[in-house]
Amino acid sequence: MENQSITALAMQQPWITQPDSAMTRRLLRLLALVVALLGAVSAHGEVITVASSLPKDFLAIYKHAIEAQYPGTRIQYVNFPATHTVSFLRDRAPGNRPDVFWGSAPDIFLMLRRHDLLEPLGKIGDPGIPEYAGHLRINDENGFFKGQALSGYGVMWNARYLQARGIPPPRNWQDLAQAAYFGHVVMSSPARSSTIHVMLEAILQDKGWQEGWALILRIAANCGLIAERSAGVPSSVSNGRFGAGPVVDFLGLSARQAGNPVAFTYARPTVVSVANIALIKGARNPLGGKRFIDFTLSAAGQALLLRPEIGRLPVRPATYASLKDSETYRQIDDVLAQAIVDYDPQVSETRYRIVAAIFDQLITYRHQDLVDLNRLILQTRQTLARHPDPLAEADIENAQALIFGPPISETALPELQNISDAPADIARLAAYEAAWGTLAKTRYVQARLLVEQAQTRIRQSKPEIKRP
Amino acid sequence: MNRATPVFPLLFSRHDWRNGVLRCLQAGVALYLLAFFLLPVGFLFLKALQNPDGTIGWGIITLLFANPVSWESLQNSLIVGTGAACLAGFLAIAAAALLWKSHIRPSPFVELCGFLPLFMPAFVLASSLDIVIGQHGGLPVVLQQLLGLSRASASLLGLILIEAIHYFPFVLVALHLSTRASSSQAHAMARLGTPWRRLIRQVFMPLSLPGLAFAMALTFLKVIDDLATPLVLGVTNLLAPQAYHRIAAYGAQDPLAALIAAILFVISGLAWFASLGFIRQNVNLFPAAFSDSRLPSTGSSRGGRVFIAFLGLFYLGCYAGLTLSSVAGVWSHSPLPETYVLTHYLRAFQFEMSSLYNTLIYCGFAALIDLLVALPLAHAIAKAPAHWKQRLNWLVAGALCIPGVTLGIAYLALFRDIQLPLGNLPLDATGLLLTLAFSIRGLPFALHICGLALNSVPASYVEAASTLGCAPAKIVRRIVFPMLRFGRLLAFTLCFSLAAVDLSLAALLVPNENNAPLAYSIYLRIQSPSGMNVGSALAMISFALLALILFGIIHRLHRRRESQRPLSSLLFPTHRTAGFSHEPSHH
Repeated sequence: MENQSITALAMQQPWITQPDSAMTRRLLRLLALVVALLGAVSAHGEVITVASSLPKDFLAIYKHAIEAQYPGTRIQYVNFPATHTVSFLRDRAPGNRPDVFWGSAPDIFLMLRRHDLLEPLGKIGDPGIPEYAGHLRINDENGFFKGQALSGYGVMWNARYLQARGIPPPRNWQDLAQAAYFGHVVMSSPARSSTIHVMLEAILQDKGWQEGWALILRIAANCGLIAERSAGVPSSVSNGRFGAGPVVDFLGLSARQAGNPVAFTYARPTVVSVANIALIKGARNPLGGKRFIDFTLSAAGQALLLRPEIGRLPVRPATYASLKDSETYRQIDDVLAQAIVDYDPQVSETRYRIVAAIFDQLITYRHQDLVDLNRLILQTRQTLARHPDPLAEADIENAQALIFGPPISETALPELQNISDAPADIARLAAYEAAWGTLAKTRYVQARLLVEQAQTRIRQSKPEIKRP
Repeated sequence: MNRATPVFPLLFSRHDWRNGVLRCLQAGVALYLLAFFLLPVGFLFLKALQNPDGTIGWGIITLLFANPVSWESLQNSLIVGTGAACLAGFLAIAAAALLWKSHIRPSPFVELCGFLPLFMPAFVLASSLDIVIGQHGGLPVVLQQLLGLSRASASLLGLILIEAIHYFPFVLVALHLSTRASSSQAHAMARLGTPWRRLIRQVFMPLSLPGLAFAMALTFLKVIDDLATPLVLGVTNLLAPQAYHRIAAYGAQDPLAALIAAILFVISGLAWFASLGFIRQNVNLFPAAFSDSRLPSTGSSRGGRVFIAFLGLFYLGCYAGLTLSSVAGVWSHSPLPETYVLTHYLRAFQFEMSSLYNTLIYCGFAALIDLLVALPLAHAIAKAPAHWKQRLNWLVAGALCIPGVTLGIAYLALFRDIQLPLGNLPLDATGLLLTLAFSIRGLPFALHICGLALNSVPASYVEAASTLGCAPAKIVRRIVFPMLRFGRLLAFTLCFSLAAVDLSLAALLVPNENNAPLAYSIYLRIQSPSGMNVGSALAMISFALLALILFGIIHRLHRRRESQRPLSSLLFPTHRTAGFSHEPSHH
C-alpha cells in the first residue's frame, strides 16, 4: 500500500526515478568544469609579466610583435594606474613580482628606485640610442631604467566644436584660461591621473607656485567637467562633448588618426618626459624581462612607436629617418628646444600628494561653486566692458585674486612633504585638507559677495541696467 | 498556500552521526560569516573610532567633519538616495495603479525585464543618456538651463532622475507582483459600483505598501552605494565617491575612508530597518495576494498594453545612445554618427573576453559559495530557538544592507597584509577577496530563496520515504535535493547576476585591470581615451547575455509544474522576521 503510494508519487515527479548515476554524472561534469576553470587560471609556457599603465591597445601591438619574434614566449600584462605602482610591488614578495615595469610618468620610476624596487639593467637595447635628447636625459644615470619613448604634453581640441562657436584654437595653457573657453574645457584631477599631474607640475615649476596655481585655477574655472579618469579628457574632446583639454601627445595624435576632427599642439611651457622601462627587482622571470626590454629598445621595437595608433616619439634618432611623412613629428625638435629646462621630477615627486590634495579640495570638490562664480564674474565683466565703473572693476579684481590663489604658501610646503602611508601622517594631511576645504568654501562665499557688490555698484551708477 | 513542514528536522534526529555532519557544516558557515562579514566590519568600525595616536576616541570623526565637503557629502548622499527612492516609488505607484486598474497580466518575460535594472549598472544608463540628450554636458546641464538652477543642484537633480529612471522598472514590478492578484476582485467591485478612486485608496495602496517599502528601501541602498554613476556625471561630493577617492589616493590604511564606509553602513542599516516596519506590518496580506496567482487573464485592456509599450519604448530610447555608439565609427559633434562600423564588437571580443571569463569565475564561485552557505543557514534559522533566530535574521539583514563600498574598504583594511600560503601572493592580489565579498552581498537573496525552496519540499514525501526505511542521506540525495533544483537555479542566477553588476565592490577590490569583471571593464572602456564605443559594445554584449539568461529562466518557468510557488513569492520576505528569512509553520 505504502509502496504503491510512493510509486505514484514517483510517477508524478519524474526526477525521483532518475538513477543515481545521472546525479553522479552531473556532479562529475561540474567537477570537470571547475577543474577546467582552475586549469585555465594557471599559466603555462615561458611567461613574461609586464606591469604597465599604458593603454591596452598600445600594449597589444607589442605583445603580438614579441610573441611573433620569440615563439613559445607569452606576454602577460598587469594593468593599473601608475599611481598605485609602488604599493602594488611592495605588497608582493620578491620572486613573485612582475618582470618589467613600463610607464610614462617619470616620478614613478624615481619613487621605485628610492624604494629599491629596480634591478640595474646594464648594456641593453640599440646602441644608437643617445644619452641625451636636447637637454633631456634619456636614461637613468645609475642605469636603473631606460628611456623608451618621449612624450610631450599639450592641448587637444575639437576643431568642429570650436569652429561652431567661433572660438580660436588654443596655442598654450593661458588660452584655456580665457573667457571664450568658459564651459568648453575638460581636465582631470592629478590625484587620479599621472599625466595631468606632470602638466600641472610643469606649469607650477615654470610659473612659480603663486602664478602657477592662479593659472591652474583659471583653467579649472573654465572647465565644464573635471573628468574622473585621465582618459575622460581625450574621449570627451574627440566626441565633441567639450572643446579642448590638456592631454599627453600620443592620445591626441591617435584620436586624430582614428578620424576625429581633433588637433593637438604642444603647449608652452611644456615638459617633455621620457616614458621609461625598467626591470623589477625580485622578478619572476628576469631573463625574459630583459629580453622584453631589449626588444622595446631595438630598431624594430622603436619603429613600432611610429605606428599611427600609437603615435609616440621614439628615442632612437635613426627611427625618424625611416619616416615617410614627417609632418606629424615635425614639432619634436621644436618642442625639445622649448621645453622648460629646469623641470625637476624630484620636486614633483616630493610634493605629489600635496598638489593632488590641494587640487581636489579647491577644484574637484568645489568645482560647481567655482564654475558658478566664474560665470558670474564673466557676466559682470561683460557689463563692465559696456559700462565702465572703476570701483566695481576693483571688486571683481579682488574677487578673482581671492579665488585664484593657492591655499598655502610655498614656504610652508616642506613640513608637508613626503607624507607616508602611516595613519598619523594621513591624519596630518587630512587636517590640512579640512583647512583647505574650509578656506575654499569661505573664499567662494566672500568672492560671491564681492561680485554681487560690484553688480550693485554698476546698477546704482547706471540705473537703466537690469539685474542679470 | 504551499507551505510545509521543514524537512531537515525530520531527517536528523538528535543523536544521529549525521547531525554531526550538519553541525560541522553549520560551524563552517558560522566561521565564514565571522571571518568575512563580522570581523571585517568590526575592524572597520574599530579603525573609524581609533585616533591617529592609537587610542579610541572621536578624533577621526572630528577630523572628517572639520571639512565642509564631508558634511555636504553626507547631505547629498541622503538627498540623492531619498530623492531617487521617492521619485521611483511615486512614479511606480501611479504606473502600478494604472496596470492594476487595466487588469493586465504581462508575460513573464516582461515581468522579468523589470529586474533588468538590478542586473545592469546605472552608469551605463547615465552614459547613454549623455549621448541621447546631446553632445554637451548631458542631463544636468539641460536641467540647469531649463530650470535655472545652480550647477550643484542641477547635477544632484540629474543624478536623482537617472537613478530613478534606472530603478523605476524594479519598483514597478515589485508593486505589480504584490497587487495583481486582487485586480480581478477590484474589477468586480467596480462593476458593483465602488468608485476606482476609493478602490485605489483603500485596497490598492495598503496592498502595495509592503512591496513598495521593500523596493524603495532596496533602491535607496543601491543608490547611496553607487560609485560609478555620480563619477561619470562628475558629482564627487557624495559619501561613496569620497571614500573611493580617499582609498585611491591614500590606500587601505586611510582611517577617514574607513569612517565614511562605516557611516554608509549605518545609514543603510537605518533605512532598511525603517522600511522593515512597513514590510512587516502588512505581512498577512502577502499569502492572500500570492495564493491565486494563476487567475485566468481576463479583460486586459488596451490602455495597459499601450502603457507597457510606452515604457518599453521609453527605455529603448534611453539606451539608444549606447546602441548607436556601439556601432558608430567617427562621431564627433554631430547629431548622428558619420560612419558605422562593427569593429568595436570585434575589439570587445578581442580584448575584453578575459573580463567575461573573470566574471564567470568570480561570480560563479561567489554564487556557489552562496548556495553552500545558504542551505545550511536556512536550515539553521528554521531550527534555531527564537532568540537565536532573531540574531541570525539581524545578521542576514546586516549582510543585505551592507554597501559594497563598505565591504570593499573593510576587506582592504583587514586583509591587506595577509599572504596566501600557496604561491606566496598577498590575499588582495587574487580575485579571492572579490569572490568572497560578492558572496556576502548575495547571501541574503540566496538565503531567502533557499528558505522558500526548503519549505516547499512536501513533508509527506520525506515522511513516506523514511517510513519505508530509506536512509536520510538517500532521502536528501533523491528527494530533497532534486526538489530544490529550481530554487538552486534561481538562487544561483540571482546571486551571479547581482555579483556581476556590483561595480562598487569591483572598483575597490579588483587587483588589476586585467582581472576586472565585465561591469568594471565596461566602466573602464566607456571612459577610454578612444571614446566609449568599445565600452558600449561590451555593454550591448552583456545585455545580450542577460537576455539569454532571462530566456533560460522563462524556459525553466514554463517547464516548471504548477505544484511550485509563483515567482512573485520569491521576491518578498513572507514572515515576521528581520530580513530575508522564513519561518516554518509548526503543525
